[in-house]
Amino acid sequence: MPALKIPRKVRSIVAPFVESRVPGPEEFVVLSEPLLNATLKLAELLRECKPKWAMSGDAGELVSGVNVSADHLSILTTAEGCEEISRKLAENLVQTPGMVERKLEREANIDLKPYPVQIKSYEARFQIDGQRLDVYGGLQIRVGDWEWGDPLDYSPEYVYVGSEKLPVVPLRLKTELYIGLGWMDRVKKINEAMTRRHHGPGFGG
Amino acid sequence: MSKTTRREFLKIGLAAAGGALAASGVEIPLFSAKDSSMQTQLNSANTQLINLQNQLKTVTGFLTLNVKEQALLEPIVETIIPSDSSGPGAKEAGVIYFIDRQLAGDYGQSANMFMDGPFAIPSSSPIVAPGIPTSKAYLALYPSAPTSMTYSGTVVPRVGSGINYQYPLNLRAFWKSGLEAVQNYAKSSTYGATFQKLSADKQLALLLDLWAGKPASFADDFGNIIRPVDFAYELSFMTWAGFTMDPLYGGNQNMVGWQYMGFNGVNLGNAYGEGLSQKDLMIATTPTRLKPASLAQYQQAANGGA
Amino acid sequence: MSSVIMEPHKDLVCLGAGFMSGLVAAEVARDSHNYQVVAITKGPWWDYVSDFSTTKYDEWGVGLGRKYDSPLPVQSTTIRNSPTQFALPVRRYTMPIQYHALGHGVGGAAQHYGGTMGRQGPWGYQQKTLTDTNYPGKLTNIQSNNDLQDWPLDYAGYEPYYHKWELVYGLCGTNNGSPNDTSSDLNYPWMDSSYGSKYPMPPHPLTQVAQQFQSACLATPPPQGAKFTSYHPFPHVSSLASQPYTNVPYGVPVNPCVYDGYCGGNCNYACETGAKANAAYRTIPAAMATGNFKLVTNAYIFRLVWDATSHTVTEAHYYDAQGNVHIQPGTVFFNGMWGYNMIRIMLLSGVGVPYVFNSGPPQSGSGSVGRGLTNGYAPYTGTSVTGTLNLGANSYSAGNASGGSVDIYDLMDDNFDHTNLNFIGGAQIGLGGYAGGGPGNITLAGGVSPSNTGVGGTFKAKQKDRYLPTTTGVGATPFAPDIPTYDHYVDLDPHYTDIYGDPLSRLTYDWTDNMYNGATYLATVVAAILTKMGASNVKVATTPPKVHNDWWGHHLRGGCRIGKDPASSVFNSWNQHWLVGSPSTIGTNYFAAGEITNTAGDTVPSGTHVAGPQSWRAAEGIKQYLMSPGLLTP
Repeated sequence: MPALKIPRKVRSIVAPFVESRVPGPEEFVVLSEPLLNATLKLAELLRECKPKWAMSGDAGELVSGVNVSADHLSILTTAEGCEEISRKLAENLVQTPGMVERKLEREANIDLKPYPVQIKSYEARFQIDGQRLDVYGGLQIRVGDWEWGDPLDYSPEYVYVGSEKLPVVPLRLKTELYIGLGWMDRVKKINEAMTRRHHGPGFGG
Repeated sequence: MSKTTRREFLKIGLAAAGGALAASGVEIPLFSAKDSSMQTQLNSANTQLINLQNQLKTVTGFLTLNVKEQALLEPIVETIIPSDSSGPGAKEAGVIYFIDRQLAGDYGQSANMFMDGPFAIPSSSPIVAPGIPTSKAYLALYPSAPTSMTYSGTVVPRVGSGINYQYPLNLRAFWKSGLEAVQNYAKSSTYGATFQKLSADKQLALLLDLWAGKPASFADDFGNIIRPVDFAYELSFMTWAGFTMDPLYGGNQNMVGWQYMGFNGVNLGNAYGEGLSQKDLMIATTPTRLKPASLAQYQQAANGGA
Repeated sequence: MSSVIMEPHKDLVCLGAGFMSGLVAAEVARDSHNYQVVAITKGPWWDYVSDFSTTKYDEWGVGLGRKYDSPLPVQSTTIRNSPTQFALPVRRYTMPIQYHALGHGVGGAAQHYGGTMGRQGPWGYQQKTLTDTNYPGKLTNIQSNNDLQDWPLDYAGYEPYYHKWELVYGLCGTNNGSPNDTSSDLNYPWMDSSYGSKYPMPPHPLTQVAQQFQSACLATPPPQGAKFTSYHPFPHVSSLASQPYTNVPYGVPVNPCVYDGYCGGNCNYACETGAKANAAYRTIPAAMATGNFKLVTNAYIFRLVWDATSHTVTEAHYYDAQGNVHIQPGTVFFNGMWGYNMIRIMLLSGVGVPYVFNSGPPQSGSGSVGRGLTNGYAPYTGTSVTGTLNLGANSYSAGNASGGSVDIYDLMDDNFDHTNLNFIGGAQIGLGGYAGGGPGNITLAGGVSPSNTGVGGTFKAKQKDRYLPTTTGVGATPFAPDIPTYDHYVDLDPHYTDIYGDPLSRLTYDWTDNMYNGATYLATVVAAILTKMGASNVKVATTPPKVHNDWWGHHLRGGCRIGKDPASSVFNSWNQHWLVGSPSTIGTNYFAAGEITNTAGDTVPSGTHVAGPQSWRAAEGIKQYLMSPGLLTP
């Protein structure tokens, strides 16, 4: 009967392994649970909202995969949209809709020179379960003492959040704005997100 | 400062930001492949690569196959995938170089294989295991385990299965033995000449004999016996791998294998500016032939061209 | 000279960092008590951008070399079909079993799976009771040495967790996707149009083949003995994100699938955009964001320390890459190791009662660890029914591994009368997956065999324009579920060890008759649908050729099952390890979940989806245990 061939030599232990670095907690992009729940509630309440609206700001970028943190929600819509949202979210209203002009904290950087940035819109503010929501209708931007730009327009893209389909401001528009304002750090973050989403430039459709 | 509309604001922004962009090294995000500015660089990378490949053909050599093995393996792979009217074969694809590179590297060293003994050739015949258990750790857990056992045999696996190969040889050694055994079989009374001297018909018949387990004796120059079907598997497997794997591994040169089979490699629809999308290709009901692209091309493009 | 390093004590120690451990770690780390959690994995952290994006399109390295998977020189397993055989070790990765490769590193095996999902229906949870009640004596006739048990909970018990799983991992599909309202005559609650929730994302685009299958299903009369009035086709459920997604309740953003076609194809590929759901890109980021979670990589767990007096696991021991020994103490331990390793670590450590087979006759067994091994996949054999459609495709790489197709559950479970049939259950039938969901060259090269030698001009000519087909083969091999038997189990091998000197696991398993009998009968039923589809040359093989198992991995189920009886199952309905002791059954601090804890043969292809709800049970159970140690009662 065949017997087993049993080798005598004892092997030394050289186990192969792959070096890797585990990212630190700050490198992980997540939307906080309170903001997530507020987003879900928002999406549900605005399901029948006819005027165009979309999640904007840092939260809009975050759910699209950009590595930014968000501490409140914001929506970009039309003036009409701001009215409609105020009706649907009447219980959560904190600041009634009206034309508001603001100066942004951060300045534009064009030709290596700083310029103040102003925005104006039909603005309203809400509180959803303790989370702040800013709504900007017909947002316009002004750099320095140039003319006001046209109200921002876009075709919403969609991010599915749980079972809700959430319109978000396209990252392409955000990129154009950031380039225009000279905020290269934000452009870089979006670029990184796009790299993560695609498998490399040039190949594939 | 002149008054400008929003559009001009953005234009100025873009133009002015050009300097900032360049200085910061930040790329404008690519939202669709059609925006790709890599296309020009890719085309130039292609040309460079073709030149390199042509160079490669004139300086190709062998790392591990000795002259006897080269002389034998060449007609073997050309029998498995002949060059014929249907298209190029193992010769044009450089299959023998693929096999040589693999045998010279991790594959031949069985670097990712479990190579500990004991070794038992799969068979339904009973097997005696003396002095078992052979692992001290097992004895420590089960001190009253039997010291000798007769098993009723093993699983008899399909030839391609992960438990089929049970030789105490790394794959380089296995190939050495296998090639010697093929040559010994060729020189035996059945065929009576070295493999390379046989007619094409006889070469084909001989390889099919291995698959059918026909050789009564199949041993290397030192009398070590291996099962003909096991080596037949290696030959077919590695020949077809050499015809179809990425050219980075030494075979499928100039992507002739992929071209023959209509495979795309890493061309996901736009490597040459075709502008086709995966989403369309995957539900199409008439096939679209894509010119193949290789890993090297893809990586060059991903790294910003040559 | 290697050292022994003591790690700081943790509230929860997770073994492995895959689907199950990732979920449990996230749930416990996010708890308001700020529990400290560690997960330990034998492989590395994978960054899908830097690790996968430029090097994954490599059939040789990924598909054959398995460069992202578990290295065989470190650990393998041995296989045999019956208890009297010598078990052979798996020595190499080869094509026909590529996707049996053990996972490695964060995300585990799910870094390279196909993403097929689909809930198990109510029948699957009570196979024993329902079969014995509705068909007395049939089970014994089909498989006299069966060891079949009911799950400890029925479908309703797992229902809420299925829904949570689907939101966390982001599944694509439609509820009630069937054009005809199905709820009245098939018992799958989630297909009911009144079912409250739905899959988060829409299904992937259907192929023409799938659409024709769908129409054919609606137009084909149900078979003899059917308990339904018409078929109910629905798009295949997939865990490959079809849209940009943010998961709930963790808020982790997810990229959509780019359909690059290097996804499935026997050589399941890692995903370079993170669209393919796994712990690394769905749950572990949430755990990390809490600040309560630590991930230890390149750490090979080789022992658990079991304290018999307190009936608890007190420590996990692991080797780091340099060979130092680390001691990790913990309050609770969760085993999320995949496959036979879950069982192996328990046997090596003396946790639980090892299963001992008794050949009798009649066969029997005692103990539970290693008991009840099944396989959730079909035997590797020819298809039972085939046909040809006049539709072409791009079968080079375009698409993904679990999209494009349509399924029916109708020929499954007890949806048709089995009184005169020699099998229980049935099969999920699906057609129309993307032809190019995975590159096929390794499949071609590795699929050579004595009947398909790959040698010569005739074979070569058949490969010309192979990836540009103008016709499509359709078919099915509708294997019915596996039935656990006394002689199918996992134990330790007496002859072979891993690289550190510990015995390998040994799998004793072969395909059961129930699987083949189902395929034989259902092939004819499916043939009717294929004919209705307009397929030509529809052929039914009289019996699919039987083969013996020589597979070792990917679809192993059971072997360490949850159940109602502590004598014959390892874990209770909370996935908590229990012992029979005095004065009553003892609940320990050790939990586990995975396909290996599935109680009976899976009725759907995705054992992962069936195992998933158990990870929620385990997480809830662990949180309860941390508040109040002891046996958790249903």
